[in-house]
Parts: sequence; C-alpha cells; structure tokens
Amino acid sequence: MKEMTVNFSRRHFFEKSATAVAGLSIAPGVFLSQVAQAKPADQAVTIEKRWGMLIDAAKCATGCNDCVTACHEENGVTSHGRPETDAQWIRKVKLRDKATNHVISLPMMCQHCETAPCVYVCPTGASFKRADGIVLVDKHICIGCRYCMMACPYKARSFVHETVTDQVEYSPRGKGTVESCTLCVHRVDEGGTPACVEACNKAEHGAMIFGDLKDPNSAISIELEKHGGKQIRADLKLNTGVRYQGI
Amino acid sequence: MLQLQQLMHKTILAILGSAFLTLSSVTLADISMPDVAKPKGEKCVAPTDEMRASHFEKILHQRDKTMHQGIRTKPHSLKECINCHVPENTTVRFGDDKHFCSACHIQTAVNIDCFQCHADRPGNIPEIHKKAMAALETNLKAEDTATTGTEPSATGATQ
Repeated sequence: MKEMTVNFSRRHFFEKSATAVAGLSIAPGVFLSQVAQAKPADQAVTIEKRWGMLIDAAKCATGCNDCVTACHEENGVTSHGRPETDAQWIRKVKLRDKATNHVISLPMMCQHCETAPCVYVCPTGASFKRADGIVLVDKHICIGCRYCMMACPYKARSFVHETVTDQVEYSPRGKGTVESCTLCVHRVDEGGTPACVEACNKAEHGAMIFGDLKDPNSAISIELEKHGGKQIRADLKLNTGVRYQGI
Repeated sequence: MLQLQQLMHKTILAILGSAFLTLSSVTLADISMPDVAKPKGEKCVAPTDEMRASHFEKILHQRDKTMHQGIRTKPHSLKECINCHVPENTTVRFGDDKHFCSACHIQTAVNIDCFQCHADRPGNIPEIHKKAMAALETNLKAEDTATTGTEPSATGATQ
C-alpha cells in the first residue's frame, strides 16, 4: 500500500509540473530525468517510450574500461579466463584513422535496433523487442542456435558456453543460451540508469547519455536535436536506439 | 476368444480395485513430508494447498509478464519465492535435499531447470547495484517530499 501511495504522488507531480521537470532535467545532475522514468511495478511497458543512448566518442577516454567493468559486475558476467568464448555484453573498440593516425575509442554493445536482425532470424521468438524498444533474449525459450549472433552486425551477442553458478538475483544467466546488453532493464523498470552510463558519469567522462528518445524534453533528445547523432552502419536502416557522436 | 477377453477385463478390474483399496487406506500422516527451512514471511501469497497444486502456473504466468512487459510485481515472482523460502547466507544449494525447492522435487521426482539460470538463494546483489538503488531511493524520497510539500526539505527549499 505504501508503495502505491508513493507512486501516485510521483505521477501526480509530473502531471502537474511537466514543464518544470523539462527545465530541470538538463541541469548537471541526471537526478530529475531519472525520476521521470519511474514506472509503477504493475504496469506494462508501452510504446510511449523508446529507451536509447547517446555516446560521445570524443569524450570517451582511450584506455578507460569503466563501463565494461561496471556492466559485467552489475550483471554477474564473469570470465573463465578464455577471452574467445567468455560472454561480453559491452566492449571497448579503438578506431584509428589511417590517414591522420587519429585514434578514437568507444563502447560497443547491443544497439537496440528498431528493426532488429536478431529478432527477425530467431526461430523460436526468444529474441524479441519490448514495447519500449529494449531488445532482449527470453532465455526460457532460447534454444541456443546462435542465428542471432550471426545476424547481428554489431557482434553484440554472446553464447554462454559453460555452466554458470552464483548468478546475480536479478540477472539470470545459464549455459546454452545467448545473451547481450539488456540496457540494464531491471534498473530502467525501476527508474534507474544503466550501470555503464552511471560508471561513465562517475569517472567524470560523461560520454554516455541514457534516456527516452520519444520525450522531446529528455536530455538525450535535446542533445540529439542540438548536435545530432550517428548510427553505426546506418546503411542497414536498423534505426538503432544507441547513437554516437564524434565518429 | 470373447470369453478370454472378458476374463482378462475382470482380472484387471479386480487388480485395480484392490490397488485402490490399498491406496485409500494411506493417510497423509503415513507420508513423510520433506524437512524444509522456515520461511521468512508470516503468510504465503496463497493457501498452502493451492501453492502445492499450482505454484508453477503462477510462476510461469508471472515469468512471461516480467520478461515481455516489464511487470515486476512481487507476489508471484520466483525471486520473491527464493527471498522468503531460502534463508540468506545459506550454504544449501539447489540439488541439496534441504533446499526449499529441491526438497519436494526430489521426493516427487520432478526435474526443474529454473536454477540453471536463476539464483537459488537470496542476497547475491553486487555492491554497484546496491549503491545505485540506494541513491535512486534517496532521490525518489526527496522528490516525493518536495512534491507533497508535507515536509520542507533541502530539495524543496531550492525550488
């Protein structure tokens, strides 16, 4: 009952003062934009929102691996000391322009495509897109065929090759299924931000912005409108939820 | 030929009848119930008989709602079953006959694969998540106070 009351007053607040929130959400703290994302636990996600991320490669520091560490700690993704088969939800990529020797570095993970190839090829319906744009694997139905891994142009998915024990309680992982970045869906559903974005802000790089692409007043939409953002492999017309600047 | 068939039917019926009589004389007291840890909560989400008969249907229904629609209510979630029925900091794992889920499933010879992926005991939450959720909770509380205006707070004052 207590929870219900809290949720009501929270929603009530946003109904009444949407403009105030819009103004405040672009202030330095990500604080208010986080609250705006909170959804009551008993309500289904809707197409009213589309979660996305904007990554500024110019701000992403070469050699910094904080987003990767945070992601893997958050979701209990552990290494078996075999990099070729270890699961990898996010990775750092270094790009060097051969003509100028200019090096940029960026995090690469599931791009949460609108028309996701992984969803298209999945024979069981395990690979799916939620109404709010988050692409996930329903491991209850995944048969581990790995078609999605072949189909993904971003090499974002991993197959779990070995028995997993001591899973984190909100992040089930098991042998024989495919997995990838969930955009920290367990946090997002409670009004939080993904662990990678949080780690990037904590390291004071501020290279990653998370938010609702359908809300014109969200920090991500404002930044996209002002400076734009590119899709990687835009030629594939996948309408990715993750966009990049400085590439 | 027909007579032989009738004889066989009668024999089968007689065997089934005697088997039924034997079974019906067995009471609940004769069955040794598995020994499980005491749950944390006072009352389950449904009466014990109902839970014994259909807990898997409830969990299955909730599973799809959570996975596909992001509905994260507590009553029928597997995570909450574990939080209540398996003690924290326990060394008992799924597969041991002392684990709440294993106890009955071993006795009834039912194989479940929930715990090939899901955590079989509560409390495995990394520090990074604990900190993030604590910060979020503080922010939400501050917001609520500022909204309702019942208690003037630092956040309320700056607005």
